[in-house]
Formats: sequence, structure tokens, C-alpha cells
Amino acid sequence: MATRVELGMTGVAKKALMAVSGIVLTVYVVLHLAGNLLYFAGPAALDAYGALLHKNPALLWSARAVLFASFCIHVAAALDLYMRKQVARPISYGRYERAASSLGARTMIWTGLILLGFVVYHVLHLTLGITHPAYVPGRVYSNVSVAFASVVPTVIYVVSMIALGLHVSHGVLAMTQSLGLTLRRDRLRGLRRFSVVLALIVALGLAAIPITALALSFARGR
Amino acid sequence: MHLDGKIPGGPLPQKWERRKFEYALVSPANRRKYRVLVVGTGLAGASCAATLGELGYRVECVIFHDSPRRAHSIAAQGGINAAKNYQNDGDSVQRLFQDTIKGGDYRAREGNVYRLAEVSLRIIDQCVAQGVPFAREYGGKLANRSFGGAQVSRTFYARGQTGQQLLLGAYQALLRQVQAGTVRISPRTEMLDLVVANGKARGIVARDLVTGELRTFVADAVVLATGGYGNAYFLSTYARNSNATAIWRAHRRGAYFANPCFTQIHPTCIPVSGEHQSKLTLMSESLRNDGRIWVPLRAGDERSPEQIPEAERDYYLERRYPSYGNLSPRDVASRAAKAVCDEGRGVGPSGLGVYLDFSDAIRRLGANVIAERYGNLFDMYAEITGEDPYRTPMRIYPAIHYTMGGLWVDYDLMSTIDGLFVTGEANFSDHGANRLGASALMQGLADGYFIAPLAVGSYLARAKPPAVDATHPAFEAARKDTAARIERLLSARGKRTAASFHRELGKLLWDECGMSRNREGLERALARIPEMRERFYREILIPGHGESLNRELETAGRVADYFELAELICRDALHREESCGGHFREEHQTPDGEALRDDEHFAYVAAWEWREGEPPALHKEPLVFEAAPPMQRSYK
Amino acid sequence: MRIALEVWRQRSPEEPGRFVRYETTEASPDMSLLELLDVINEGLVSEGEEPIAFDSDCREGICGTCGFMVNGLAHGPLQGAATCQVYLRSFRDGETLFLEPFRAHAFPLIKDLVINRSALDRIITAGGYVSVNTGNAPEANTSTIPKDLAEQAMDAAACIACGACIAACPNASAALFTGAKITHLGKLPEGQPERGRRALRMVRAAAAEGFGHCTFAGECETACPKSIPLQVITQMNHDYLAARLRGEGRATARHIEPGTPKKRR
Repeated sequence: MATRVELGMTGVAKKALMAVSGIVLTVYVVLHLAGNLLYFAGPAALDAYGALLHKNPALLWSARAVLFASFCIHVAAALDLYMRKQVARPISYGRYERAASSLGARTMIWTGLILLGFVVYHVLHLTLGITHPAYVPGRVYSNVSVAFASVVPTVIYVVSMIALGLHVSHGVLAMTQSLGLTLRRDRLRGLRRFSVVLALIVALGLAAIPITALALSFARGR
Repeated sequence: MHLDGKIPGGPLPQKWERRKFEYALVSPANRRKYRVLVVGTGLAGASCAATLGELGYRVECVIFHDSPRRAHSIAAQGGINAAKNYQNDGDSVQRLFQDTIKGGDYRAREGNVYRLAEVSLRIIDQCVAQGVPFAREYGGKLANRSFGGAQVSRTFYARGQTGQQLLLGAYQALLRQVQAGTVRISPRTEMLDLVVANGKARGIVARDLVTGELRTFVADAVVLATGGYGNAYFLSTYARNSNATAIWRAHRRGAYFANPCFTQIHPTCIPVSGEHQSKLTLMSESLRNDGRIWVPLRAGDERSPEQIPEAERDYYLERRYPSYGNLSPRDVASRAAKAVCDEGRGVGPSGLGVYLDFSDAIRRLGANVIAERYGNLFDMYAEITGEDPYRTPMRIYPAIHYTMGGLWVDYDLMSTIDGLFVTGEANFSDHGANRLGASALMQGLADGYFIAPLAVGSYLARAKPPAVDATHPAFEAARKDTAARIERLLSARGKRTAASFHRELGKLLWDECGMSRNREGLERALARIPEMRERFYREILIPGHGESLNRELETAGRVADYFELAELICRDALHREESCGGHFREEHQTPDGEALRDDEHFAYVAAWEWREGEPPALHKEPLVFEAAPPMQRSYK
Repeated sequence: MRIALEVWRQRSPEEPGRFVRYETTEASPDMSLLELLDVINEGLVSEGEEPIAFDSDCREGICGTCGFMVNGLAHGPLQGAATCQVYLRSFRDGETLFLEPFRAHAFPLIKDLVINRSALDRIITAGGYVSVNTGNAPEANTSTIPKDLAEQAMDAAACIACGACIAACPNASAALFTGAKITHLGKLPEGQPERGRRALRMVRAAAAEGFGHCTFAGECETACPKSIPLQVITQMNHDYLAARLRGEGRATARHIEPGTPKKRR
């Protein structure tokens, strides 16, 4: 029965990688939200913010590289772990109830997949402008207004932001524990609340932009 | 045969030192040449196997559980005694020795008990070093509580899970040796026979409980740490699978069985609630630190406990035994409970129960303190009975809990079979006729960590057992014998389950050889048991076959042995014409109902020898008391 | 009281299993679920049928032998209770109960509701101990352990290795089990010297046994009959990662090949 212990990546190590990349992505989402909220300050402010980001290409591209790497690590680790889950329980229960897990926790893989699709769409849509009907580089405000003048993209964005909210609500909680950071019980309770609030802010803030744009276009059209 | 306890000479405090020096040694490099078989991994087994492994012997562990950590030591709640005197209340090795001898009603060996008290000090050290999370004071030092039969506070505890934590310490030490390669474990394997070759214990026959395969294990010495035999009574606080087969089979192969009638009845168990009940649950003795035991003053009082005013309650332990009160020893407290119930003053639906009341303690200390001390026990009680002990008093009643009797062993824990060592509850050695609370854990670990490993080594060094293997005729014979016994059970194809016979036998034993015994009842039992056993072999029904997991077969084998054992228990109880400790003969009591010992005629260990086809033979090992002269055991 | 049971019956790992329905009117609210199984089994045996195989021993929730899924929940509906501590008063009259074995790759089925959990022993074998030989201990009160720390260690040490955490986990992870032992020993001064090594070895052993990973869903804490807190998992991750980052377990005695010339600057 003596146990041989092999080297290699354990689930704990993989989850730590997911957590670190998750932190990068979360920080990015929060910054992205802060910048995007300039939408409500009007075209001049938003376009100026866009120009500011492009001022230093080296910085921009290194940020993008870090972001892209984190994204890939996050997705790869998630898919790998999801596969392992099937291996760890090859025969599923005839009856199985989840008693404790939050909605966010239950739907992590699905919200994750939605976000994966969304990110691809979002980059093609508002960064590269390929799926955009009238993309003009640099004219951020008008690009946004035009993009969300129709219902379909708006719905896609809003649904994705709901997914993002769910994903963040569990993700923020989980990554602190994956890194072994919340060792006290009372802190864990606080953290639970914090992650829900953060998820609400991110989801509501980011969804507000397409909804506002759509509403404005309806108002203008009428 | 003359029974020699092999107790070392010299004054008590030097006996164990002297014996340790007398032991022959096996040099470290030679130890791996010897194979030692340990059956059972409770406190006594796991600690012994781990220590033998650390010393460098090749150890083989056979257990019927699925993991070494399941053994029933795990259920011990209250604590473990040690004469540390951390409370500065006058404790000492000498006092622990005196308390244990007196608590055992002067039916234990002085030499063994003194050694136990001495070794108790090192057990706590060892367990703390292993990471056992004993309760602590705010200053970070070890905490103690009081237990029955002692006027000092010497019990160490880990909430209500002391047995669990001590067992996990031993289990972890054992698995560390598995990792080191010195110990091999065979789980789900049940010992069904002992193999004695050329007069020495050389191995066992065991059944793989999953595949049904009969396996033989060959060794140079065998250690039985298979626990007590209280499950013969069916309803007990033992685990469902605890059984006597290992020691009974060893007995049939030549190991004498000592004092089988010394069974302990624990006063604080949850009363029986229905006929389908499978076992009784113990409420730790530590509850008696703060709980007060009482019954209504008037027989047939149907009022609920809250409605009975203080003046109409009888706190009978405090009344009868003012100096020990609710902390009287177990045998005394159990008998007192039976006495009040016999008077018709018992409480609860069956009338077999007394109140254990915490309302005073809650008033004095607050519910929080009580919850901190006994929270998990209160929860357990609420779970089982559906009543809230914070509001209404608990109901308790005595139940079979431990057996002081067991295989006879000498000072070196070796039985009458050369090379067969017996440790823990399976032997008879240290508790006499009654065990004090929190002493079972102490004895199991003393035997396992500190005594048996040295004694086994010395035996191996002196006996130098010649090589044998499983082709030896003795192994062949034992294997055949076991297969025949299994076949006999399987082929009966009657109509009754083993459990139903077990229940019937248990009830008979409880009625005739339980808390109090008399000649007439014992003779009745002795007449009925053989008849019951015969019916058992005719009417037993075991579905399925022997080549797979078959719980009915396992149970039937155990019940078959209980029949023979039950007979021996009754026979021993019948022959012992005195009352002492857990053995209370109604014919022998003082005018006020206390046990009446007969030191002149019965100050001996009764060791029974199995004889095929005829009644067992009685051998006597006289008990000599020098340091603790017998006196009337009084807790008044 | 009437109770119906849908029990998973499977004679051996090779044969296919299925739910079989048993109905009884012999149930009473003061009977435990396992006693109900005893009664049903006694009936089955009297008819010459094979009884339902299930594991149980102490029947007071401490040995960890019993355990199966009751209506999709490990150990049934009660918080802080093992299967043997579930009494029929927790169910409605006429209710149907689904009994199914704990399922995980690392818990191969033996028969009916009986599974093999020796993987848990192997995780402990990898390092769940303090390496101290018998006789090698100092006087017990030389180590001073703050009460809070002792209590936290005890909270984690209460684990009974029943496997419910794994059974309830959507990923069949043994994180709560492994974390409990790492936390128990890691909180105490006696456990410090091996703390990093223990975490590394036990986490790796759990992975090697085929248990899944932890996603912090929290099902284990709810399923645990001893209510071991989730923090033990955080502690495990902490100790494991800290040991990895420190590069623990790589230190070896410095060896200089004989004949090596002195290094000159």
C-alpha cells in the first residue's frame, strides 16, 4: 500500500494558475469598465480615452500580450480540469442534489464558454471592426452608438454580461482560496459578499452601455 | 498446568525496570528477519504494529474493517487517564495504581497495574508529540477533567472524541510504517483460526471478506488485539462488527480464557427504544461531572420531570454514596440504577431509565459552558431520541460496554500458547473485576506502544522460531477446519437469520448473566444455551455463497462462537460464589445491597482451558496483594 | 409509517447494477435508516434472497464506515450527521428514498452500497502524520499550544474519512479530506517540521488516486458529517503553494566529487 508520489502538475497547481490568470482578467475587466463608463461622459471624453490608450503602442501591446496569455492559460486550464472531472467520476449519480453551491459555482463552465465566444465576437466587433457595419478606427463613441443601434448585438452583449456577472461572482471567491489567501472564516464571509457586489457592478456597468446606446437610437429614430 | 504470571521480583516500582533489563534483544539488523502478525488495529493493535515496525520487524496487519482507522476504539468519548498530576491535586503513579486496584475490586495483578500507572505518563507525551489535539487551557497547557472512581482530575481529553484522536495518532504512526515498508496491511480480512505449529503460535487462517478466499498468514509471533466480547449480549455499546471470533478461536487452540464473567455495564447509555434497535449508544461518563442522576421518590410517578418538585426527587447516588456521588464507579452506579428501576421508580416509556439532569449545572455555569463541554454529546442524544437535553433531563440506562475478562496473559502479555500475545481489551490483565472510566484507552496504548513490542522482541530473541511455511500440516489442518465450519453454516439452509439467533442469545445472557446474577438463572442459561446452539446449526439460513461478500455468513460465524463463549461466561459466573466489580451475585451482598467479596476463597484469576467434548477445566492463578491490601470497597 | 426504498443493487463490479424498489410498513419514526435496512434485509434473508450489502459499524457517527447517498445527498438530509445517525423521523410518511453508493473513480464499487475507500488511507500514508517514533517524545507540557489553535486543529482532526465530501463534490475532489489532515497537523507545533513536505506529498497522492480538483462549490462542507470547514482547503492550497514556491523537498546533502580541484578566483 506504500504510496509513490509522482511529480507533475496537480489540480492545486492548475487551480493556482487559473486563479492568477483570473486575477489578471478581473483587474482588466474592472479597468475596462472604468474606461468604458466614459461613454456616459459623451463622445469627446470617450474618444480621448481611446486615443490615450493608443498613444504608447509598446505599452498597449504588452498589456494585450499579458491579457491574451492569461486568457489562454485560463481557458486551457479550465478545459483540462473539466475533462478531469469526468475522469474522477466516470459513473454519474442516478439522483444527485447540489445543496450548497451558488448559481455562479454551478454554471462556471457554461458562463465561461459563453464568455469565450463573447470575447472572440467582441474583438471582431469593436476592436477590429470586422463584424461591425460601419467601423471607423478612433471614433469610439460613434462606433459604439452604431453597433448597438440594432437589437441582436445588444442582446448578445447583455446576455454575455449576465454570464460575466455570474462568472465573477464565484470566480473572485474561488481564486482567493485557490491561492490559499482566505484562511479565516469571518474573512471568507466578507469575501463572499464582496464578490457578489463586484459581480453586480461589473455586469450592470458593462451592460448599461449597449442598453443605453440602443435606447438612444430608438429615441432618435422615433 | 501451573499458571505462572511471571511477575518480576523486587519492590513494585522497580518491577518493570527490572523486566525491561531482563528482556533479550534482537539486534537492529536482525529484526527484519522476523515477521510479526498483528490482528486488529484499534489502539492496542495499531500502536503495537507501528512500534514493531519502527523497531524494524516485518509486520503484517490483518483487519476485518475496510481501513485501520475504523476500529471501535474510535468511539471512546471521555478521555484517557495519566498520573501526570498537572492539577497539583495529589495525584501520583502510586495513587493511580491504588485507584485502579480498588476500582477493579482487588481482582487484578498488582505488578501489571503498577506498570500501567507508570507507563501512563509516557503515553500522553507520545500522543502529544504525534499531534493529538488534546484540550488545552488558555495558557496553552493540557487540560484535565474528572472521571468516575477517582478523587483527582487526571483525565486528558479531546472534546468528546478522545478515542478517535488517539486512534488516529496510532493509525497515522501505523501508516507511516506502511510508507516506510515495514508494515503491510490486509483490510477486509477476518481471522477465523489460529495456527499452532510445534506448540507455538505461527499464524492464522483468515477469510478475505470480498472474495471469500481463505488465506493463511505465517509469522514468527502473533499479536491479538481484537477487542472485547461484549457483543455476545447483542445489544451493547460495541460496534456492530466487534466480535469474539479471534480470541475464541485462539482459546480453542489452547489459550486460556480468564475471568469471562467480568463484564462491564456502563451506567450512562441511551435506553432501548424499540425491538428493531441494533445497538445502544453510550453517553460519556464525563457527563456525570456536571449532570445529576435522579428518579422520582415515589414509584409509578407519571409526571414529566419538570413537574416533579425538588423534594420529591431521589438523587440516589448522592444519597447512597455521598463522597463520590454522581461519580461513583461504573459497576456501583449501574447496579444502583437497576435497583431503583426494580423498585418501579424507573422513568421513560419502558420504565427502564433514570434521569441525568443538567439543569443545576446550566443554572450555575450557563448553557454556553455546558455546550462547550458536552455539546457533541448533547447533539448526539437529541439526534437519537428527538429530545433536547438542554431543556429536559436525559434518560439513561446501563448497557454492556466493556469486558474486563479476556485471554489469560502473563506479565509479558503472552498467553498460554507460546508466541501468542494478547493486548488491549482482548486480554484480561489490568482491570480486575471492574474498569475505571478512561482506563481502557490507557491500557490499550500502554500494551501497544510500550509493553508488547519489547516482550515480543524478547520472545523472538529467546525462542528463535524455526522457519515454517503455509505447507506445514498445522496450516493445512486449520485451513480445512475453517472451510468445514463455513460449509456447515452455508449448507444448513434453514429458515432463520443469524441476527435473530443473536438477539435471542443476547436477551438470555442479559437476563440471566447481566447486571446481577444468581445460581438459578445461571443454571437455566447453561441448560438453554446448548439447546439454542443446536437449533442454530439446524435452522440457520444464509443466502448466496461463500465466494463473495456475504454479510450473513460473517454474522453467522460470529454468532456460532458466541454460543460457546456465552456458555463459558455463565459457567464462570456460576463458579464465582462472590460479588465483585461487574460480577454481582445476588446471593452475596451486604444487608444494604453492596457487593460482598470473598477474598479468602476467590482472590484468584479464573483461567479456563478449552477441552473438546467435555466441560472446560478451571485453572487458578492466585492473586497476592502486598502494596494494596484488600479492603471493603466503599465509595460512601 | 410507510417508507419505500429505491436501492442500488449490483452484485459485483463486473455486472450491471440497477435500482430495486422495496416497500415496508414496519418503519417507525424512532428507527434509524440503517435499522430499517436491517429489517428489510432480515425479510429478504428469510425468503432466501441476498440481503442489501451496506457498510456500517459503530452506528454512532464516529467510525466513518457507513455512508451512501440518500435522495441525492451524501449521508442524507441532516447537517452534521452520518448515515447511521439519520432517523426515519426526518422523512415523511409514504416517502420514497433513493439509496445509491458514493460514486468516484477512486472509490470502486464492491457490492450494492459497499465501496472501496482505501484510496483515503493511501493519501494519509503519503504524509498524514508526524514522524515521531515511540519513545521519542518530550514531556507533554513542554509544548504550549494556544487554546484557539488547539480548537482549530481539533475541528479539522474530527474527520472520520467516510468519503462524503468526495461523494458530494461535483468534481469528486478529496480536497476537504486532504485539507483536514494538513490543517490538523499544520496548526500544531509538532507538525511544523514536515508541514510543507506533508502538503506536497498528500496533494500529489490525492491526484495520483484519481480524485478531481476543487472548484470551491462548497458541497463538501455541507455533506461532511463533522462539518469540517472549507478553510481547510484554503489552508491546504496555501501550504502546498508555499512549499512549491520555497522549492521544498529539494535540499540534499552537498556532495563534492573526490578529486575535484579547488575553485580559484
